Amino acid sequence: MRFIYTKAFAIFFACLVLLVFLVFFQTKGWLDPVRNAVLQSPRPVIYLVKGVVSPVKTFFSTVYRLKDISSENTRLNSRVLELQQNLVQYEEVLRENETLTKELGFVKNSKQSLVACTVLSHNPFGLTDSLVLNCGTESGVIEGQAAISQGYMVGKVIYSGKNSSTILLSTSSKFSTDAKVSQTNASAIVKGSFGSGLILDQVPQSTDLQKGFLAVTAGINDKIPKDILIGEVGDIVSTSNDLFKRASLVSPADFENLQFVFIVKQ
Amino acid sequence: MKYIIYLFLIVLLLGINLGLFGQMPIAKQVPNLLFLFTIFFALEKKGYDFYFIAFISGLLLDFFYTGFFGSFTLAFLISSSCLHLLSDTFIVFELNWKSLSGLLFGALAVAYLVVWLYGLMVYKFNWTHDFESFSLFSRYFLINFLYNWALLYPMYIVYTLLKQGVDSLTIRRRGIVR
Repeated sequence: MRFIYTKAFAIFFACLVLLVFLVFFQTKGWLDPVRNAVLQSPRPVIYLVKGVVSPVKTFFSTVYRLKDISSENTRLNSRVLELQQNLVQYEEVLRENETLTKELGFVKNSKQSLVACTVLSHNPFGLTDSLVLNCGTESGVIEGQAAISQGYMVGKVIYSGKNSSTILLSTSSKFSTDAKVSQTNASAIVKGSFGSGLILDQVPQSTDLQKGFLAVTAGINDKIPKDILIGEVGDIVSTSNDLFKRASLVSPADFENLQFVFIVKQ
Repeated sequence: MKYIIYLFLIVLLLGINLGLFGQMPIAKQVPNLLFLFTIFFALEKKGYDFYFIAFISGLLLDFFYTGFFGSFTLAFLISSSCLHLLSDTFIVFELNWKSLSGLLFGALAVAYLVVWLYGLMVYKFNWTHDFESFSLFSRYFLINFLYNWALLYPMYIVYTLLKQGVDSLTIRRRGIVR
């Protein structure tokens, strides 16, 4: 008996037709309530499982990383002392700036408005470097806005539904944003590098670029405000013969284990 | 009644997949418990329950996947249909772990190929701005297969327990009707 005349094929064909209808409804946005319900449905199980697994995982990872934690602690202590010294100098500069601003009558920029979002899914099948969040257009999240974690940019919104949105992580090879080097104000571009890091690119050769310099957003894109920290310059990977300088960027954000992010609204 | 039990178990497996295995990736890969569940149903010689399992599992995964909607549903339907056809027509011997591993490899390859082709097709029709390159799928395929393979036996136990439960429920209901 030919397969196309069998009950199995009839059911398969019916499933295909139903799928076509569902794809059509999804493109129209009519499946959003169903999507929200589906995204929320396994959450009780996820919370229960994470509640059991997280302490165990933390314990074993802490034991495994004890030596690293100790050396990181020493390094961070000396960094704190260095930053405290810098802080004293910056406070002095800030006082001077405030006085000058008052005298010149400049309008101060308002503080950024942030939307706190929970990460629902890390796109668990390893196919894209993106996250699904539990906030959408109802919370004021729109496509193109920046997502930050611990003060550092971790991605930008690529899709925003009514109650959920998707962000593309900045470590993705498809990610890029305008940037500048904070210390020299030189313009640059930050790109993701195949899920494992960030690259600071197209820095003019004439500009000074050293390890420890900070890369921030330049504010050229109207949806991403300027001066959002992206990362700290690591190794310089270009040579003097290259057209532009390139360097790796180090970000303290843990891209593998993000649980909460903030979307920066204008 | 059995379809409600299937639906409940699918949601439970999805929660375990995201909550437990989402925290234990290996080279960024996590197993797909729903796919393993679908495979066991597809290998049954009689019955078409696997279509329900494949359709619902694929739909749920599509809602979590950030690619174009329908990729996983189509992949699950096609790979489970191929498995069922193979099991019905060609496989006359009782399945052992060697043959099951080979079938898992083939089914996973078909599923990921369908997801990639679907993504490429919607990109060509301009329904989406980009698509995932084939290297993204091929680079981690072996690790993904091995991780799924390691969970084959536990999922088989879950499947067996479920079938026993559903069968005893069906017998009990028939007894009440009589």
